[in-house]
Formats: sequence, C-alpha cells, structure tokens
Amino acid sequence: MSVVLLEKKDEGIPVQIPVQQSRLDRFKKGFKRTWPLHVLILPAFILTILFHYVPMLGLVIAFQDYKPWLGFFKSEWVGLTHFRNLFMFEDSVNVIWNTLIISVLKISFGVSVPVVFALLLNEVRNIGLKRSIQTLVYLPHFLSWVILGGILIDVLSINGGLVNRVITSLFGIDPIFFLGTGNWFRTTLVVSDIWKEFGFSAIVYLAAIAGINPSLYEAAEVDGATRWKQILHITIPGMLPIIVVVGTLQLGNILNAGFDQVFNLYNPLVYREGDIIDTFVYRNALLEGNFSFATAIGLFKSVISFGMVVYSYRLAYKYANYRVW
Amino acid sequence: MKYKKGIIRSSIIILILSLFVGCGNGSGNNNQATNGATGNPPVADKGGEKLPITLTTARPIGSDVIFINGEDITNNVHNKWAKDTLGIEIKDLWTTADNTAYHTKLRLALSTNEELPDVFVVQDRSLVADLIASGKVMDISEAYEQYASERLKGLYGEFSEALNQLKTENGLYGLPIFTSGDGTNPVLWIRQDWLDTLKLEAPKTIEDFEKVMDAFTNGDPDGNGKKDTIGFAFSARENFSNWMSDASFIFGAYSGKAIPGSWTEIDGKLKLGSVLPEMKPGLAKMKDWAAKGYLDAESPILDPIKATESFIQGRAGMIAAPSWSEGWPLNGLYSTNKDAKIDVYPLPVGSDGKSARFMNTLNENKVVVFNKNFKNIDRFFEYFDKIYDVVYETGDFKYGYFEGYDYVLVNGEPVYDSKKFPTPLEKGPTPSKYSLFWNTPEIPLKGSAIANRLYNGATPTTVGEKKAATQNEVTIKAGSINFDLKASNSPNQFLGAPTQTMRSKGESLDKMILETYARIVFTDKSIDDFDTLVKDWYDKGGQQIEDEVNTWYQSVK
Repeated sequence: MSVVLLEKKDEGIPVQIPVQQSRLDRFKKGFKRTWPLHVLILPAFILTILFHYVPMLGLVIAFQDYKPWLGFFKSEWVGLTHFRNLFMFEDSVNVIWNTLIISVLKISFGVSVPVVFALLLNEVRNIGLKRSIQTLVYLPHFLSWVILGGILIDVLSINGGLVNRVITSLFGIDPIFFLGTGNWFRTTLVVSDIWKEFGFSAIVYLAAIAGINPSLYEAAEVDGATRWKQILHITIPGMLPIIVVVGTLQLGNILNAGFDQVFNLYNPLVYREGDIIDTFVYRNALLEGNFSFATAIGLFKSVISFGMVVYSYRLAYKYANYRVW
Repeated sequence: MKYKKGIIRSSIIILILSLFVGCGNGSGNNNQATNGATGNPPVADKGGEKLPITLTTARPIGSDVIFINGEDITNNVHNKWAKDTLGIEIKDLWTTADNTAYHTKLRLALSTNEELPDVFVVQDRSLVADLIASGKVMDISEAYEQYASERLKGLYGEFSEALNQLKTENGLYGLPIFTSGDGTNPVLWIRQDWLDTLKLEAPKTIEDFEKVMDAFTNGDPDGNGKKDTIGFAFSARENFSNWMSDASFIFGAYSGKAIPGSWTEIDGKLKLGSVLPEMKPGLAKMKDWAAKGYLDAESPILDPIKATESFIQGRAGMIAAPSWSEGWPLNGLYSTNKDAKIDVYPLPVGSDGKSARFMNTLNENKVVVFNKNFKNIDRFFEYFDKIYDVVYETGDFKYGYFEGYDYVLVNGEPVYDSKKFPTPLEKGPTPSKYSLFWNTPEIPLKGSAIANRLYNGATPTTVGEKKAATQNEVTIKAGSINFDLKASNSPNQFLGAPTQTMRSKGESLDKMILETYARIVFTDKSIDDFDTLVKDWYDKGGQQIEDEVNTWYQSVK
C-alpha cells in the first residue's frame, strides 16, 4: 500500500484520494517488485515445512499402539490411552510436581542472578579485570553435564569432598550429603545450574546496559545522583524490557527441568524429589521401546509449553512492548 | 534437555521419512537385497561340488577392527577363505561405525520394510523381540536339527537355557552367540596388606566378612592414625546386583539362590529375587553395616565403575568385582599406594554354605538371526562350525585364524604377540572380527576352567592354555576362583522379550524396589518397610508381570 501511495505522491496527486485497486492487482504489482526476496526465502520456507511441520504428522503415534514394523497405517488406534496412563501412574504426578518446582526455581534464579551480576560487573572500572571476570564466568557454560556430573559427585562428596571440607572446618557442622538428601538435592540442582549458566546469560544484560544512552548518566551526575541512584533510576529501567522478555520467554521451558543435569546426578535416594518428566520418559518409554507413550508425553509437554509461550508473549508485549513482528 | 528434544524430534523425522521410503520403493529395495541369497537355488549337498552362494549381512565395523595389506571388510583374508573353502561369498549390505548406529539402522530397516540381511547379529533384547514379532526372521528349529554339527549341538545342549532367548511357542528364531559366559561374575578382592597388618584371615562366611569389615573400618588398617577407611565398596545406583562393585552375594548368602534383580526358579515357578522374603535378612544385615560405617554412605550415587574408586584410593578394603579386575580398574591402587597388595578370594557364604552371585547371560544378549527368505541355512551352519575350529583348536584354524594375521609360525611354534612377529606389527590385525559374528564365538566358562587347571599346576599344552598362562598370577587365581564358584551363579532365568506389563509398568516397579532398598540400607527407613514393598509390588502390577513371565517360562520349558 505504502508503495503505491509513494508513487502517487511523486506524480503530484494529492495523497488523500483513495486509489481504487483490487487486492489482486496490488499483490501482483507488489510481487513484481519483490519476487527475488520471495525466492530467497523459499529454501528456508521449504525446509521449515519439511522438517518442522511434516514431522508433526508423526504425532499420530501418540494415539496409537505403535509397532515399528506395522507403521502408521496398520498400528492399532488406542485413542487417549497413553495420556490416561500418564496420569494413572502415581509416579507421574510426583514427577510433574518435581519438574515444576525445579524449573520454577531455576527460572526465577536463572533470571535474577545474571541481572545482579551484570549490574555489579558494570560497576567495575578496570576494563581488564572486567573482561577477565566475564570470560571466566561463562566458561562453565561450555562443559557438558556428563563431565560436570562426575566432578560434582567428587566435589560434593561427604568423604572429603572440597565443599564439605570447607563447610566442616568453617562452621564445625557435620558434612552435608548434598546429592543424597531430597531438599539438598534440589538446591544442588538449582545452584549448580545457575553457577554453570549465569555468566553466559549475563551477556545479553551487559549488552543492554551498554546500549543505554550515556547522556542520561551525565545528566544524572549533573543533578547530583549517586551511583546507587543511577543504577536504580537509569540502568535498571534501561534493562527492564530485556529482563521481561528473557523472563517471560523462559516460561515456555516450565516443563523442562534439565534432563542432562538430573540424569547425571539423580540416584535412588532422591528419586522422590529429583525425578523429572524427562528422566521419567527416558526410563519408561525410550528404554522400554514405548515410542507411543514417549510421543504422548512429548505432545503433552509441547502443548503446555505452547500455551506458556503464547501467554508469555502477551505478557512481554504488555509490559515490555516486545513484538516478534 | 536439548538432547532429549533432539531424540524425539529426530525419531519423529525418521519415522516420517521412513513412511515415505516404505511406501515408495518397498519392492525396489527388495530386489537388490535378495538377489544374492534367493537368486540361487538351494544347494543339495549330495556328493558333488558345492555351488557358490552369496550370503548378505550387515555389521558394525568399529575402529577396533584392524586390517592389514590394504584389506577392508568386503575384501579380506576371511572373506576369501569363505569363498574358496566354503563357496560362500559374504556381501555386506551396509556397515556402520558403531553398535548404536547399527541397531538404529536395523530398527529403521524393520520399520521401512526394507529387506533384512540374510544373516545378522543383534545385541538388543527389545529389538530381537520386535524382529521375532514382525515375522521377518526365520524359524530355524528344523534347520538346526538337520544341519547343525554334532559339536555345535553338544555345545547348545550343554547351555540349552540360553536358547530360551530366541524361543517362542512357535519355534526357535536364531541362536545365541556365546561369549566367555562368566566374564562379569564377581569374586572378592581384598587388600592383602591390610589383612596382614591386622593379622586377619580372609573371610569365609558372612560372619567373618563382618569381622573383617569391622577391623578394616575401626582398626586403622592403613596405619595413618585416622578413622578414614571403610570395609566394603559397592554400587547401589542402578541395582544391588552389578557386573562391577557388586553386592548380590550378601543376599545370596541368605537366600542360597535368588539375588535382587534376577528371576529365579523356585518350586517350578519364576520369581523376582528382589521381592522374595529371603532378601530381608541380607537387607537387614546391610542396614546394620551401613549404620556401623562399614559401607560407603555414597554407594547409591555411585555407578558401578565410580564405586571402585574408594578401593582404588585406598579407602575401602574389599570389593566384589570380575576376575579380570586386577588388570583394570583395581590396578589404579598401585599408582597411589606402591606398597598395596591385592589378593582375591571366594565370596563369603552363609550358614550351611548358602551362596549365590550375579551372572550375566552367557552370550551378553548377542544373538544371530536369519532373514525369513534366506535359502542357504545349511551352508550357514557349515560356516558356523568352521569358525568354531578356532576355539576347539581343530582343522584349518588349529593355531588361530590366518597365519600372518593373528599368529605366525616360528620353528613350528605359533607366536601370537604381533610385536614379536618376524616383521613386527605395532597393531596386530584382528581376523576374529572379520567374521559374521563380530568376534570369535566362545565356549562359555571355558576360560575360567583353563585358569582353574593352570592355577592347580597343570602345564599349558593347548593354544588356549598357552595364551592364558601369559596372564599374571593373581588374575589366574581369580579365574580359578571364578570357576570354583560356578555353583553359586544365579543368572536371570527370564530370557524372553519384556512382557506387556513389564513394558508399561516395569520401570516404575524397578524404581520402587531400588528406592526402597537404598532407603532401607542408607536412611532411617525401617527394615519392615520391605514387607510393604513386596505387597506394593504385587498390587501395582508385579503379580501380572509374574504371571506373564511364568506363561513364557512354561512355553519354553
């Protein structure tokens, strides 16, 4: 539309005269100009359809008793049996709760800790020191949980592990069995996950801080604001949109409590507090070859996540004016 | 998380793609695959020269398969031998770089209706069950009767229970490929230097075992003046019966037969060991020991290999591990503690000599199955028997497979160490891995029987004995003890496919058992909760599982 109007404007015809054109004509005219762009996007479009939408047809096996050699067409239809089974297990309710508790803790600390860290780091005046701290703290992000799991078992060991040695010598209390008692296990999960990720997550906040107009600080200084006041009234409000966006988008992960991490750390003593949906699916469905059950749970998770993403997108739009398009 | 999402997503993609492939060229594919085998008429072996046949297969070719002389899997000394001597041309339809990819590809072939290879090995119980259920693999019960050589029949007759893995009420759908059989059965490893310091004898009964643990825990066996040692290391993360860092024998000493995690025949019926009342005394004992500090409180978070670390670091005095463990991982102890001495003993027994211990299947779940359309099964059995020449030390393979490959004759004596060949090879080729079975099929328990003879002073004469005699003393002793303990082997007697209820509820029930065991032993959960566990297990699907297992058991009996 705007294109058409601009052309008219160039020819000197008053803008307010409506141009009577059918939608098809407009489309044709626009397409003539923009078709190379469409061609450019075509491969991506095809790939998305092929690898993101076509595979969704496979979701039918969530409603079947799928047997690989019978395929989609001959496997027996069982309706919602698998979904009913999911909630029939007394395990599964427990597992869903664990997932929610662990992931809510992870999301809330996973957002707030990097923000605080970014604020603190921003106040460091020595550029060299700032850079090296930043590099150091995001290194753990690149370690896999398979390796970290082994390290954590050693570091948190009650038989002379580093952490317990510090605790016993500092506070004179008995060693804490971090990985073997339920509530400590959850705490360990959350803390170790934050430790691993906070440096990496802080990058986006540091970028947001760097984008704040320096003249605001100058003006504040002229007005006599302290550093603390500057953080409170300039830095934080400047970061707020990105905090809200990251935080709300995290809600889509509400049912993901971290398979790799839990799988490498959980054990019989903490099944009750540490078993999450993904480890449950791994044991019950993938190891046993119950593809239908696995798909049913996957679908259940996706639907919830989809809802959360839509909801959080609304929130992000409302509070941070964030839009995808 | 990404990992798991990836799995689901890629499996869905695979499923979708396989749908298209399945519809598209089902028949096209078939031709290519079956040409070889079915294209040739079956050969009647009546006196005349055998007609050459083509036999198709598929297998994983890992980096552990070593070739020389520019050979590869399609063109090598073994394939040449098979063609020249037996008239069998072996053709690989496809190969993969590792076992996981191999089984994925097989599963894919199954779901896309792709023609299966004529002869192929599978090491995955649920895939075997799917293959049999799909009706695409051959019932070989008649062929086995007709074509298997006498010594093969003798071998499978002696270990006939292993055939149950492939039996259904309709027939026999393949053969187990035996491994050494008792390679993961535990024996008791002890810090001999600690025993000597404290002037103790190795434990013979569970009571002795308890005394030794007490001394190891409280008697300061490492002489550093600190109470920093424990009696016994084991793993309780996946099970209480383990291939490494095992604790099954403690239960076996009270039950005499059943151990946790295995199905055992009791009065003609299979029962799951974990929920038998006979487990209670063993469990109570372990709870007592844990409270006294004899056991590592971290056992439930340590997997079987991680659990060996407390022994290796010189903190634990005893561990139950396979007979080869001194070579790895227990030898790690020597690097931190030069004066340490490890010795091996039989597992302690209960009153009246009761004992039982963990045992894997004789074939480590490895089986060979056949395409339903494979026409030359007689020729396969001929090949199979020839391959067994290596183990029986007969025929062409009296010294090994191929001279210049796995051995070289120097003055009429075979040399097996490739570094000592006339033209030394840094990495010797592995002709044993060129065969259809991925490795040399073995005679179960033969290795420990040889160790037993050698330990008792026999002079090595056969090839197998000479090879075994090169092991160190304590490993031979361990092998010998492993052999002596064979009466206490308690293998899982349920060898069928996971039953319906097992597939839907088995994991939850297993988790419940393991959780309760670990909590009873290591937390303040009462030992009487064991009775609740048994009741819960039966109520929540265990009864169904037990019935299904016994239906299977009746069908193969």
